[in-house]
Amino acid sequence: MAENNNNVRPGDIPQDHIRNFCIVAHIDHGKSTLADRMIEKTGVLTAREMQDQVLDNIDVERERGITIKSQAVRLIYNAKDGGEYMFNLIDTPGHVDFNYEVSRSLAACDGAILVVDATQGIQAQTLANVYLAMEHDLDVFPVINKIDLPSARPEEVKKEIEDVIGIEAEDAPEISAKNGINIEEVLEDVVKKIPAPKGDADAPLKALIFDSLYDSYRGVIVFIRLRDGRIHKGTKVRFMSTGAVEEVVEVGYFGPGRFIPCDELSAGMVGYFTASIKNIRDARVGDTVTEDERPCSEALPGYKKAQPMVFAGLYPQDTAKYPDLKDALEKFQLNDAALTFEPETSAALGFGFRCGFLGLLHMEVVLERLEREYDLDIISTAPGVIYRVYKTDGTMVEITNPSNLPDPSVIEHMEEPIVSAKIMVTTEYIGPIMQLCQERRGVYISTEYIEQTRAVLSYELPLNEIIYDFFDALKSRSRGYASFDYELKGYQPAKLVKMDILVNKEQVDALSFIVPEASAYARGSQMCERLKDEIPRQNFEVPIQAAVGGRIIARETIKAYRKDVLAKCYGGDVSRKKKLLEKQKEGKKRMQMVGNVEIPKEAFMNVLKLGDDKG
Amino acid sequence: MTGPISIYIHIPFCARKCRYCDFLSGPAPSDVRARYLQDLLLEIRRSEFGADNAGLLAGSAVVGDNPSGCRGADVDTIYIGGGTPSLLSGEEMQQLMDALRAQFRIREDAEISCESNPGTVTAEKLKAYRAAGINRLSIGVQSFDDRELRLLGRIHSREQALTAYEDARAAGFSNINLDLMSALPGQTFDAWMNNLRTAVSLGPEHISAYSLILEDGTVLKEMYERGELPAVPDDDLDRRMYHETKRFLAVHGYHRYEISNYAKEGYECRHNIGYWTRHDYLGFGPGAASLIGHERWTNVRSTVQYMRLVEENNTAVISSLRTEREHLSQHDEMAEFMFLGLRLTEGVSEETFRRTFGQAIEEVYGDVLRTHIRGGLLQRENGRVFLTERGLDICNYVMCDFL
Repeated sequence: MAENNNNVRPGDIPQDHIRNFCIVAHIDHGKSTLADRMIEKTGVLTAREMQDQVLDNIDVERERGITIKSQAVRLIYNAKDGGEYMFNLIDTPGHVDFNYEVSRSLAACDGAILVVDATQGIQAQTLANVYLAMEHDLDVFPVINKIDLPSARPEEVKKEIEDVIGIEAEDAPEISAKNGINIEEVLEDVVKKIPAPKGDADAPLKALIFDSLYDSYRGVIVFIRLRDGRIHKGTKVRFMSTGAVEEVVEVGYFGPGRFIPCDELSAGMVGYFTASIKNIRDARVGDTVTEDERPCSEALPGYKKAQPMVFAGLYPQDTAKYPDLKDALEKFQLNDAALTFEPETSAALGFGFRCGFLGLLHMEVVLERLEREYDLDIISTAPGVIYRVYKTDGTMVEITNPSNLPDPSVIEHMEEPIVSAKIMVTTEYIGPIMQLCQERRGVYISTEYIEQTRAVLSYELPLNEIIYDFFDALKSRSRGYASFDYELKGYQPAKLVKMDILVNKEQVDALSFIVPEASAYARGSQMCERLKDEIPRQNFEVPIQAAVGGRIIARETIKAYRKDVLAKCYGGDVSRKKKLLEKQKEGKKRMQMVGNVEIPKEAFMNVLKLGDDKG
Repeated sequence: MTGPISIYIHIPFCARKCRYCDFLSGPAPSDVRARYLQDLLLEIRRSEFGADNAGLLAGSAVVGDNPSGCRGADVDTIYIGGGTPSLLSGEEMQQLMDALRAQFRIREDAEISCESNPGTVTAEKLKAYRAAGINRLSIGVQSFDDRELRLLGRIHSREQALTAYEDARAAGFSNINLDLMSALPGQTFDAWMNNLRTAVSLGPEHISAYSLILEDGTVLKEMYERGELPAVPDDDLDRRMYHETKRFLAVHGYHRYEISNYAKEGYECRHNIGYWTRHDYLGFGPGAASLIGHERWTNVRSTVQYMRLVEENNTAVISSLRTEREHLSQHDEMAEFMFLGLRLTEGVSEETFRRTFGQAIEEVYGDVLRTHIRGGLLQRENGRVFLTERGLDICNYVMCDFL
């Protein structure tokens, strides 16, 4: 841990030589690669130490090419002016699921580098992230990446940046992060264009928590950006949202890929502290840390508790693994303040948990980790949102599991969450995308043209309509050209009903879902058709029915299968026959017995896919 | 090892590969075939279960008990399969049988079967086979329709099949099987029944009726994928053919005793029943499987490699041939007992299970039995467990639960 192989102690660098910044970009425009090159060029890491994409830390993220948990790295840069600068590069998640995390990371910065792909120009997330950065009063300067590609059009892209975003782009470095071209220009721009942090080291401590990490030896490691004051070992800190007080055990800063302890952090700096904190919920992202004895007068603005928006039931396929699932979720929660779970039971699936996620990506990451790190076979129900159910007795309940919907006779009305969505699309696909939004019950707000061939469509959409496969549909209808960003707007009344699914005449609670009354019939038919495809033929005929309020509105029948025989079994070659049977047995294992019907575990999740063959 | 064993001999050659065939077989020049026969005889002579090594046979009859004067294991069935074993000349067949007799004590009443292709036999050859000791002839007719035969890539015609049958009778074969295939591409229900009627009119003792499976790697499968085949009967038609086969053959005195096999009373194929009831057997030739006691193995599957290994002529030759060796645990054996035994319409005997494994079938497979009895796929009666009609149609679905 004590790897003080770096001669520069934080205190040796004056506050006006500190630069705290992040990189914002649309996905795949080269954010992580640029970060890698900057780390390389500042010489903190040798090429040999250089791991590809140092900032991305978790397997799952690496494979998806997305950074999920934000992290920071401290770099030492010897600028052309002869000065020695401390750069704190703070990485931000690049997915809409993690908007709040992004906003807290931005709040820890004083400036941002905007990376734009020279071949693609401005995309939806470019805009969303840049606007978010500007909302946090960050000074943004642009960088044009991928200039080595034959289709690069840097001049056009610069003009686009100036026209659309309204920031100076004429002198923007034209770089290739991949090939390490013109990275020095970027580093010099960081010195010149990003302001030094303000703040008073002698004022009471005031620090923003922008991330945290659970470590089994040291407890929670709290990532902070100091606005005012100082923090060192022994400081009694107070978390302003909870009032909890802890004594600091260690402070330090972020070396590339590791934590480096130091004596003290002071105003303007970025670093971490530990204090024997056992639960990540006690060090919430966005909270303000101050001194217990000399507290600051008010907390930093913008703190929000992480709110899960998407809910699904998670069940171990092997019911005996319930305690393992519980254990795994508890461990995840140590490091993931947004993940919630509470026990629930399903007649079809047994004991499991209703889990809350920031969004579908978050959910997929959790599922993947459960299977990969804990070797659990998980059945997930289709994801849903939080509905508000106003009852005739004047009370309101929030429903995350469709099975818990009160009887229609006691429901006065229901409300569903609505998002404001911005979809950037080339003009030729505006028609199909508008049609898609309409099918998903979207309310059209506006169209803004960025240039002649591209526009931003603004829509209000029910969250329920976009959590599942909206993004896939968007891509398929725009041949991959549309990009998309959204934020929660609020709740709106909606006429909703619960759809029940009966398999072989038995209601399967894990397949129930909530649907707008107007599209109940269509969705019921679609659901039955899809289940017919998902569920293999059984030994007997299986009717699949969709029902609303006890009334059957759609039906399909899975015919009994007719034949499953290895007619010829050559001589004594039993091994070959056995292999075939073993394969078949493996297939059966992927099935969940519901009543006496075998349902593939993927079916529970897949059935809600609306399908999009209209593109 | 207790009691008599069975022997399987593999002849991996044919005149031409049939389009549906994924077995270990292919055409080869006659000198290679002759050389192969010598290698095969060598493997037989070196068998540790044969004359020179009779003492190795735990539990087998001691030498002094042997009235025929020949040592080695007691053999009660032999099956010569392929490929096309009827490519062997009468003389070669005699050599093969001589080698087996020299090495093993073949029972007087042993069932000795040989497969044949109507395109490769003559009246003389069949007489010679009979003289060599073959007493059961299996004729690979497959169809009596020349168009279907051409589609399958068979080398023979309807006429040749009929002649082969007559010649076999004339040569003195009193136990004849006809192989037929249903669910052929383009085959109608009536076309299949015509084939069956022709077969029955000949009056063989045994009929094997398989429904065609388009196996990966076969010419027929490729043709199917390229859309070059007439419509392949769907599962519904396939099952209609199958069920009507059972009914029709029963009327004519053939009862179904295994998924695809029908026989007149007393003419069930003892060799095949041996496989399903897990009798010990020894296989010779490439790809031939053996089961002796708790050991199962399969010879190398490549004919070229097989010949090379035998010709290296060292003492380790026998063991070097054997691959895919498996020591069967009791769990494995119980599973095999069930999924093999259930191929027979009479199913498995609960008493035999208990005697063999020292546990009641109920203790081991109670849940599986109940599930499938409830589902109408298994039946349990008079101390036996067997598949129902419906269970036979989807037997893999049931069998895999015993693994």
